[in-house]
Amino acid sequence: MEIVRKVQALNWRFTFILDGVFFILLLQAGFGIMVSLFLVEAVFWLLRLTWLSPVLLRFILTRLVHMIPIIVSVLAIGFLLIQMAPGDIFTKMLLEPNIRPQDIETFRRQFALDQPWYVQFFLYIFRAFQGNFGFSIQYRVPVFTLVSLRAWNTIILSVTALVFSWGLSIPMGIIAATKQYKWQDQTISVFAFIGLAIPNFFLAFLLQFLLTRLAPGAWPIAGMRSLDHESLSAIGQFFDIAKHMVLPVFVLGTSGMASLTRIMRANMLDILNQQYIVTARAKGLSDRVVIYRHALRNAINPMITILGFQIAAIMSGAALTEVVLSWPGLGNLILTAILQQDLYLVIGSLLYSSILLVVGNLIADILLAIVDPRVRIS
Amino acid sequence: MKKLFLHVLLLSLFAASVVFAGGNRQTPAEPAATPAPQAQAQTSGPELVPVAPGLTVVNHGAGEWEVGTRGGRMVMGQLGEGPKTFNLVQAAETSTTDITDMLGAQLARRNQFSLEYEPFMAESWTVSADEKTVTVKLRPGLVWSDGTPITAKDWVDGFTNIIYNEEVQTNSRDAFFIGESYAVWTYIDDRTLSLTVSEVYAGLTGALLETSPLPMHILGPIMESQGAEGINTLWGIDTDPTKIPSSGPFVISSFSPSERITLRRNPNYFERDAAGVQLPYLDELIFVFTPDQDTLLQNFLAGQSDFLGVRGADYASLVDQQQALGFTLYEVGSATSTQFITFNQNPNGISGPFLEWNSNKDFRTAMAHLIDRETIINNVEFGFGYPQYSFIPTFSPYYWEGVEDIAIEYDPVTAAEILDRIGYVDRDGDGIREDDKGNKISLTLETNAGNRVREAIGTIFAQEAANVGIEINFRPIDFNVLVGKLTATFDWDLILIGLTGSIDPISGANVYPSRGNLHMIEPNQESPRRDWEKRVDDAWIVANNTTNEAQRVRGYQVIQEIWATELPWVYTYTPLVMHAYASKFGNIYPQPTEGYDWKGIIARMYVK
Repeated sequence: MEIVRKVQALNWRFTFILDGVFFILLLQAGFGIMVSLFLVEAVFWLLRLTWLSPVLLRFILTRLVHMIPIIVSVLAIGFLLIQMAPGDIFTKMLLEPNIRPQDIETFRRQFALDQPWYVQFFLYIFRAFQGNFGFSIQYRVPVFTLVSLRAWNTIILSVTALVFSWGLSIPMGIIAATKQYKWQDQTISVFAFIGLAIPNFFLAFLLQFLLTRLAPGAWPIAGMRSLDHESLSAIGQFFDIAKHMVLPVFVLGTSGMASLTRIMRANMLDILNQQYIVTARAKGLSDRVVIYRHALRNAINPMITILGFQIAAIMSGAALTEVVLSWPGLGNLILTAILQQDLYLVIGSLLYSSILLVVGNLIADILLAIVDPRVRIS
Repeated sequence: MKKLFLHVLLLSLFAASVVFAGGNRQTPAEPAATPAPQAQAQTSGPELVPVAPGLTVVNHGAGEWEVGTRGGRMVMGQLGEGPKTFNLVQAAETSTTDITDMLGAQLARRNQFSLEYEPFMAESWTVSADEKTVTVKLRPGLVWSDGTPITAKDWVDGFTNIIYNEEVQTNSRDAFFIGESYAVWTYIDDRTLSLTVSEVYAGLTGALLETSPLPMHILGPIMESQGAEGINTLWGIDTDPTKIPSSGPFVISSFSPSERITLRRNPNYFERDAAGVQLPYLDELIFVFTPDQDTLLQNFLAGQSDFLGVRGADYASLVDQQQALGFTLYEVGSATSTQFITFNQNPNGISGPFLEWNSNKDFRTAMAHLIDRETIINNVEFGFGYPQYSFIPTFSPYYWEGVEDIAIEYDPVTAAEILDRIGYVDRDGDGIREDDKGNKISLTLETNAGNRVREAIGTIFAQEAANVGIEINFRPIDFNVLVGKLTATFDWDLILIGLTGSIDPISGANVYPSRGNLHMIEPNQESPRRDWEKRVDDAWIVANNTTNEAQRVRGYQVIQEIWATELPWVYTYTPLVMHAYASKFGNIYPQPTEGYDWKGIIARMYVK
């Protein structure tokens, strides 16, 4: 990874400027711009890397091409499974006295629900290549539009929760490992296990309950914006959303933290018992250098693989918490779509999550190559 | 040892914080001894006693509205995802119609106390001598919120060209398919229109008066250029809803999907109060969407919404908080939903002993004696419910009170006696009865899985049946499978299901007559197989092919009586509706019938 180091040398200054702009904008325009700058920065890095490395470019392109058959077969299985479930979205209308059965046949025809699954599948693929990802049957709105209306809310929540849980659990894992069996390790373990043991939705209820009992009205317990959000200044709006985010980010973050901390601790302990760490200590290196330069670099690799899967979960991982805390994200939309058998909305969400899963893994592989010089992309 | 101590300390700290907060719940700020103030004005007639302490019940004799003041806002917590469309034509389920209803006034409103129709957008209406035509005169000067005049064309063209088009997805069509054809709309002049049917039909006036105009200055050109598909995809939640014209008290001022919608006063709304002030009083009406009922409750307790639909389970946590948190808990009355157990008697679906047992009226009577309504209400609704004996809600003028006297009440001893008498006795000592041919009486009771209420009713019923020696295998199944059994394959023994009732049961035309596709015991009959079905079919014609109200009441009395004695299905209970409103609002007189004039009522609510 000679190239990577070259890029790093080239671009440090530029990214510093980018980060500066980023912090100013963050205060002015809120999470939307913050997250988009994260993405811009990531894309920028990727472009620099691929520009400098034809190997990496070819690797990414190959992976993207491999993506297509995977996603197409996921969709085919999706159509098959949904048709195997009894009835469809219109079946329950048969029990409504004010809708005539022949009208229901018309509705089915309008959405090709009277066709076998493979016809629905090929129609869908055919239209998808023309940029039409179908209409939601409940909403009569294009699936793409419907998902876009909500996706942003889920992304800013999940990314913040991701930053929160990783930002705390990595250092906590390191501390727990280096202070193994001391009080620091015990405390972290207790909290980790409490976090593991309490389901997200229950923790959310518990916090809501505590807040309404102890300080009614003092802190928002649900939703994303307060009622007078529109009348606030830009900074006011930012802090308004931030306030509303504390509860869901805490709930989502702590649940992820428990397992991450435990994995980080185990990885770290594993590495600390290696002979080269003993060698490094024997050479008289300081503890800080041993832990952060030698042990951490190696212990972090399995975490990056996990990160790949967590990127896939960004769109769907927050569903229950979103429902309980009425966060207007994708979770409830997709949940209702599945319960109602809103065919094209279900397929649409399947498409998004499978793309994210594949792309998430790709990103993890690239990151791994950057962090670990032993991993070679070919 | 030190480690153990540390673990115990941390865990007990955590537990203590939970207990501390929970303990707070037991010490309400104000004791419940002083009940919340009763609604003061406009209550005449006998004092009504609430079913439980701390509830306020508003007298049905009231009717006049207070003159309020303009200003302020009301925040309604709404369960669910919010509207699925802003298209008035398509709006179907309640989370959508709760919003779209505010955008369309009707020709007439049903007064929530007297249940009579009163002029609303219509100035007057007349029924022709042959009772087949109703002519409506509109108020002068009706205007859409965008400034376009509202004319008779907005009804006549709207229904003829759009609602009647079978490619358009709407629930409004069926009510106008009367006899063998659609009712005919006629435009007379800009302020006059009429609706004509081919046969005398009791529902004609009601169906007409409950219609809202369609904004044909927008829908007309779309229908012409894009056809039904253009109408079906119009005004989805991705469009700018502030541009949607309204004929009702409110217009949409902002919307964020699955979060909230803000409505503001329609500047062109026609209705004024007694003092001549234009309604509505509220500047803003905000719906906040919450997908979870418990979050809805916590939000209300935190003062972030002004209205809450209260479940029986919530009563205990709300009743003592009324004065401290400044809200009032109202007992509204009976809901319109029904829950019943029905017995399949369809020879095209089941056969042998199952058909024989279910077709035996004595067996059905014995089963009806096993429905323990009190236990069901206590277990499912925490005591907040009413036993139910008829398909018509108790507040409807067509409800026949005599049904309570002839109803089959919970009585397992009599049930056992009846079963003994008809020869269904335990012959082999296994605790389960056999019929006279020696078949073990074992039936399957199905309902839709995931419905908490029905799962509880089914479990209680199966237990009661087991106590008298009838084996009921209670099996919650997927809703769509259940619908398939009811409407296509007919292979079921007993089903527990519900239908929503309404003031005028005329909407049950395909439920009660034997030709109906929802006449569950044997649907779609060419001619009635059973004698009592023939009598129901005749009574249905008496009740509905007339406009004479006394005759209608008599017709429905006959059907209710037959239903309660022949027991094609047995009703269980209906919940008691409770509402909680922040006490700062005036003109709050909740009634079980308020849904028929909901927008008109909200337009009268004001901040005191």
